[in-house]
Amino acid sequence: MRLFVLMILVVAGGRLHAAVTDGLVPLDRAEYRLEMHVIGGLGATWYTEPPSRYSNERIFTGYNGNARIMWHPDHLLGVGLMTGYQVFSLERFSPGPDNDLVQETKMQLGSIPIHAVFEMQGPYVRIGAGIGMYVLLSQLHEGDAITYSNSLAFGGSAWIGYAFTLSDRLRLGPDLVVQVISDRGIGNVSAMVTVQIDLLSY
Amino acid sequence: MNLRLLIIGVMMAVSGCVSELEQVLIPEVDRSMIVGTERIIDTTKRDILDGVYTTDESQTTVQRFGTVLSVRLNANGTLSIYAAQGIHTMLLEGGLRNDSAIYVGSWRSINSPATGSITVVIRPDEGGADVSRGKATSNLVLRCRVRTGNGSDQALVLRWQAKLTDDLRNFHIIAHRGGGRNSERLGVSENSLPMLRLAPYLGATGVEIDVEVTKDGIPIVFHDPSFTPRTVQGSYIMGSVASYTYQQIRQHVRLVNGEPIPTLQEALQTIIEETPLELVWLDVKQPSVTAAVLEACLAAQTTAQLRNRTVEILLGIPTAAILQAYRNANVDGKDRVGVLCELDPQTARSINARVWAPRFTDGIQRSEAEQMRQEGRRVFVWTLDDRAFMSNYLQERYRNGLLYTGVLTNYPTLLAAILYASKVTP
Repeated sequence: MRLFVLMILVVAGGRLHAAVTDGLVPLDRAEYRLEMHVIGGLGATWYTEPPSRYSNERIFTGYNGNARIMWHPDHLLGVGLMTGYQVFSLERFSPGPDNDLVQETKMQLGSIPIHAVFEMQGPYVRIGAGIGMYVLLSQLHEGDAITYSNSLAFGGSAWIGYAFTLSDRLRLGPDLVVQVISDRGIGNVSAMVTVQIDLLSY
Repeated sequence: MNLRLLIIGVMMAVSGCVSELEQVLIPEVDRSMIVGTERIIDTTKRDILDGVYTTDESQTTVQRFGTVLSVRLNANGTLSIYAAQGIHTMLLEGGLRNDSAIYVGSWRSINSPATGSITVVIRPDEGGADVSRGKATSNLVLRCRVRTGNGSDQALVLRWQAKLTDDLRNFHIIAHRGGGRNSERLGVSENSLPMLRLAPYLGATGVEIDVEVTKDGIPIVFHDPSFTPRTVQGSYIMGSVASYTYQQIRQHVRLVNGEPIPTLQEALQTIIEETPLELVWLDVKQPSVTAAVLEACLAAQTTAQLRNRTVEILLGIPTAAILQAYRNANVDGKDRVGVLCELDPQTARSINARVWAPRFTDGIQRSEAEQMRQEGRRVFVWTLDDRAFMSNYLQERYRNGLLYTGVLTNYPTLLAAILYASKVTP
């Protein structure tokens, strides 16, 4: 199974890379840039097992708000850091005949990704990948009481995006982001809007 | 189209990376065969049936179970059979009917998914009549029919060879985390009440259980300091155990096989009232809960006395922090709680520990163990999972008398099989 998945990922990665690099136009080789990407959007999260014992739901919608600081040297490849906040799922449960709850309960799982990221970036199309930690954030609301807890998990992300140039220092476009936190059985696909701001060029 | 492929790819990647428990197969057992049988509870009859049995090399089951199997009737009349080869355990129910004995049940390997059903018959002329009359015999033959996972039947004939090793009462087979690696094969979670109920039938005479503490100071039986997919279901309740109250944990958390997390009090009560286990080793994980654990031990001792049960409950001292907490604990009667010290011999002496328990990687420590024995302390070793190491420690025990009198293991079935048959295969 794992070998099969690996093969699919390798083939998919190769095709994506080919598709993107075909459309890349080399940047001005003399330019070094520091960019900030502000990314926000909606996502679908998939759990391998239901996240609560009160429901069999495994697919949820949530939202993401992330930022990447990217340094692009004299090369197509940029490196940087990504962080932000995202909500994977939120469920509300009421006491009823099919559960043993005694009060209104809300459960939420979010995360703060802290990733080292790499990105191939042309004037329009970008592909990137990140790897690092997720600070998983759990909220348990029982009536008026809220219990917070957190945990660390390893994970990875990958994205493909397109940028429309708005001005010399500003670009805007859609991103499709995929995230996997494998040891927790969590996958996420998000449709995002990315604003790229050139902070510094030299 | 591409988006759909991407989502499928992500799902497969997630599924491919998560370590899932193997499916636990439950073999079908035909209980109609044991209708009308009478369980063997009488200890005289039980002693007759208990023993080391051998099989003929030519039998097709030899590759699976080996040639030496140990048979032991449990206090509740169920029959356990242990085989060191492949680490097999069998649990059967049934009893005497007329002059025959009939048992049905299942067999299972502890280190593979292999499982199936088994039927055991003792004919009147092959010891059945003697057992039913309580008359000792060495002419016992157990005729077994072993059904494998693919539905094929194989014959297994077990012939009584010798009594089980004599000094079972002086030696403890202690199942790690309530049952050891059996939790992966039997569909019950480590440190759960069902695991504790099952442990004796896997060969354990004692259990080691782990004690964590909730936000409101309740000692619970749980190994890790945090909730992770290794131990619990779901994704919302995660992170530090100490973030949640006992009520929240009871309400929202289930162990990987669906059981609630028991309190220490519930676990001790279950051991006392529902099992024949003779020893409990409490592995305290947080110093802050030490006093509460001592109080739970004292309460459990009272319960055991009321139930006329002999269960030794030992407070484990695994770290300097727990040692300090034990010394500082201001609990009336704490000297009545036996202590098992995992630290050095001097520390064990300083707290008058009943048991000194070094880890096996320190090697067989003859002089220290002998000194402990002379001081009236027992010596246990942890955690032995390898057959060769188990045999080494057992042989050391025979060479030097009762030097090591307890072994903590993830494979109580393997240790039981080796120990019980040590007269035949020393």
